[in-house]
Amino acid sequence: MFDHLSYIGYTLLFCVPPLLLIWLRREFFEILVGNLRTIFLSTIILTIYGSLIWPIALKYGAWAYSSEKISNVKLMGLVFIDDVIWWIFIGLIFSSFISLSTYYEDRGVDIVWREIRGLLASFRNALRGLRIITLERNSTIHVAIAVFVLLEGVLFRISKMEWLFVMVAIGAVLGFEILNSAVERLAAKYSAQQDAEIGLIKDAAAAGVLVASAAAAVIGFVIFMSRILRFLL
Amino acid sequence: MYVYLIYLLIFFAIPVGILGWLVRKDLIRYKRTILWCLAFIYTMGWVWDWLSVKTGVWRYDSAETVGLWLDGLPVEEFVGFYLLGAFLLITVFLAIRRKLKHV
Repeated sequence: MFDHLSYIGYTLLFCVPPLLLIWLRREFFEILVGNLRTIFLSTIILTIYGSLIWPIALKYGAWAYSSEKISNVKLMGLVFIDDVIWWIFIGLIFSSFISLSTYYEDRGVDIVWREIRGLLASFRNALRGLRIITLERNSTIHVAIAVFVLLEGVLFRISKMEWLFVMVAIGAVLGFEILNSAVERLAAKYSAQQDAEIGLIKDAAAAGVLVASAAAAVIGFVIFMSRILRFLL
Repeated sequence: MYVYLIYLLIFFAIPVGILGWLVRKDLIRYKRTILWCLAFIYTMGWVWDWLSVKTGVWRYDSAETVGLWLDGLPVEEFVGFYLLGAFLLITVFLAIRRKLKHV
């Protein structure tokens, strides 16, 4: 996939997202900063140890690399830079995670389960939020049009690229419509009386739907009009 | 010759044994952390390893392994590298943290 950068590429692919998950959260960041010395010292020691023992494995044939898939650059003529980068990222990820997890375990909290439960709850709430579609007239119209377009797509056998555009358009329109419905209800809850500012906010939310719908209409026209004309004529 | 197995015993099992003894109280205290580390290594680590072997980034010479294979990976990988590797990462961290607390 990445040719000579395959080893490094996979390391980044598997390590950078989890690192971001751990370090980008403010709550976690503050805990990790408190353990920075331990995290970096562990990473350095593991990297040095790994960089010393990995060449031994290669020398005695425990495993072997494909020269087309690695950088072939050696640090001090001893260890592949790909291996050093691997150890740095593995050391950093696990030191960060252990630091975080042990902090919470000392306080009786299983942080991984807490995060999983939180994520599942978010999904449950979001799925519950979909019912707003059934409460608004415009939402139901958009859903009906979306289903119509999907059926058209199947019947006219549109290409993968065209499906991509159709799905993005449907997602944008329905997404904006749901948001618009939420804003309208929030505005109604906030103030039952007529208010110029609230009115502007509601109109702006509706304008968002209008813009998305107009763009979706153009996409639909470009994809389907010629096919419909050919079908009719 | 069981090169890979011997390699794992020398460079993983021995350090893990020594460090594990030094931080044995912490290993009992942090069971959940250890289980989650193992869970991540045996899932995402396995996918990574499998993908790397499948796309030819690295390979295991069958002459240097025990000869038992699981999905293109030698059994030493699962029993030795994943398990002992996880404990190496954990014990190094706990040992350094213990040392820094006493400094």
